Amino acid sequence: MAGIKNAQAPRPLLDVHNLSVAVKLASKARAYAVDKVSFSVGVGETLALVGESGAGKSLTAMALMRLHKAQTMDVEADRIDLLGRDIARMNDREIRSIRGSTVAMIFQDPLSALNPVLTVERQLVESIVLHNDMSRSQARKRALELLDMVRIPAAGSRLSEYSHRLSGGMRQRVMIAMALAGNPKLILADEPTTALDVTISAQILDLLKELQRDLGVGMLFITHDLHAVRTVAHRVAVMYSGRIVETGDVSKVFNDPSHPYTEGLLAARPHGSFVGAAHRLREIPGTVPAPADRPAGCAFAPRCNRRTAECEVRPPPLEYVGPAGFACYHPLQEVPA
Amino acid sequence: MTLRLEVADLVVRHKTRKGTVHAVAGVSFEIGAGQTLGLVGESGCGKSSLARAIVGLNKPTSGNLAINGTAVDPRRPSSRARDMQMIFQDPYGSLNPRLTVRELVEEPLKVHRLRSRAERREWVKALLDRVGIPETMHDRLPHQLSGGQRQRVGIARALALEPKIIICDEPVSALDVSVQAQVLNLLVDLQREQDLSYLFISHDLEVIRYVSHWIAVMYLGVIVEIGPVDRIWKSPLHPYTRALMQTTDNREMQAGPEVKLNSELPNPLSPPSGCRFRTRCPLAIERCAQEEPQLREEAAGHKVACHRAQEWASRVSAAA
Repeated sequence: MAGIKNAQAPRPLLDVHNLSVAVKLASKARAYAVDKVSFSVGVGETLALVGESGAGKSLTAMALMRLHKAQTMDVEADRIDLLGRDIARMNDREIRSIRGSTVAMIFQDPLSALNPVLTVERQLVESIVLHNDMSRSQARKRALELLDMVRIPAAGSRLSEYSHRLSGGMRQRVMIAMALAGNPKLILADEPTTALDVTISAQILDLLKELQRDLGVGMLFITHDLHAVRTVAHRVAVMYSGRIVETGDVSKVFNDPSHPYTEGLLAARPHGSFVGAAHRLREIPGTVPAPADRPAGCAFAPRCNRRTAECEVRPPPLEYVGPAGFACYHPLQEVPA
Repeated sequence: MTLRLEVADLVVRHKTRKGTVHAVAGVSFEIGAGQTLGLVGESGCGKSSLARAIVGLNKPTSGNLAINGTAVDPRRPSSRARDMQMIFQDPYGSLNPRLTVRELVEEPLKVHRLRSRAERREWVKALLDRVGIPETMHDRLPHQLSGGQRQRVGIARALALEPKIIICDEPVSALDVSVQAQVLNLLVDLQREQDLSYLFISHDLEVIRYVSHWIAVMYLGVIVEIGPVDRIWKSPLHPYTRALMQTTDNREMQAGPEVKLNSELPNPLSPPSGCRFRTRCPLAIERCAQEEPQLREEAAGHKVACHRAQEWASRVSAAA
């Protein structure tokens, strides 16, 4: 297939098979907010999970780390292989030993993810000592190194600051430094730039990309921002209503999408001026269905202009052609088998 | 072209415990009939303060406003409510949760004692029809609507008094991409049908480019560059505008100075001397610290406030 450079499939660091998150509803019924998603992240690779709100992207990441709300949600998975170990079968204690060390998380809102009553130093040193065999003074040195790594100017003077005294960009850098404290192999970044201004977000994206490359870690990057995907990710999985509808190399998916939703999402972004060309933006009519109201067939069918009777019977399976895959009975172009 | 809205030397100061913030430090612009001025800038640059002062939600410290050529008192909001309305970013927080959709849209008419009851009913129905809210939803409460529908109600409410000027403060920022397109199309269609003038505020440059005839770039309370949409998109002259453009997929920008920002917005309580952007500007020279650059016209309608803009103006504009 032309246009796809990927031939050397990297050894998967994380390999997820049929992960589902069931939400318990009041009526004892269950709705699958995440419905059998499978994906993998290679060593030194960034996979972006992209989708609109309610697509289930954050839940997917939370479920991986077992950080979902256990009272209202159940997680099911055939297998979740992390470095060859199935973390779906691990008990809570084993999972805890992985969090922060092998797998680190970066959240959207650093203000609520950081502890407001501890200084940056306390929090950093705490996670360094927890994950490394280090004395306090060694840990303090390491904390400074980490702050330098995430390019916080005058790092020494920032150690004694509280999180509310830092700007949004600085807070996110501290979060990233904390994530790196346990020398992770995989970073789950959940909308890390959504709350930031464009100029700051560009800096954070550059930083994440560099760190990811220099440290050779894998990254699962969750976002709704198509531009961010283009900037940091190697591969992308597009989610719609709890399912992955299309996946592949970023350049393939963005330049030559197969799924009507992917294509619609790309076309809906403004790209030009209505004043000059008087063009209208392509709309996707309607809204994303809630998991409980998802139709029996393809979840996108009610909003799709290519739908036929076939689409309404059962959801299309995600079929792969090489590294690219899509779940659609009527893709935009026929792919030679 | 008649000037719908003229803003001159508008200043907004907020007193805080730590001192006075000059949120808007002398801003002037005008918007013609049926035109959109897009206003971009980072959070904290004063764009929302400016919008709220123009509508009258907070009092400007000084400055002049004129609507359709007639001066209005900027400190008396009631003087312009029927000419000017606002659409807010958060369609949930801006709608009273205890009123139905129908009541929400009717409320401005009641406040201003316009039309009879029967006429109001009809007009509200027509408005909701126009923004695409089906009749089955007219008796719903805001929390029963999706984000896109709430924003449509916000638009219908803003249009109820038939104003000619609408201030849109980040109207699509809280919406998903597929819904954003629906709301942007609606706003653009309404503008053409009713000859509306928009002041459209957003931090999203692609959205701004799509809806605007003119673009103004704001930094720490002042406009640093303003001009027709094509000029700003293709040949931006101010280093800050160029830095913003580099965060988008803009491939049409003419070659010029490369600007990459490595720092954050300085404290608005004590903005830098001279040019406010100089602390983040890789191209700053000594003069920038001493003298505040004024907006200068570099081409028809295209004004820039930068001491060094002329050095690259001919190069950047040549191909445009």
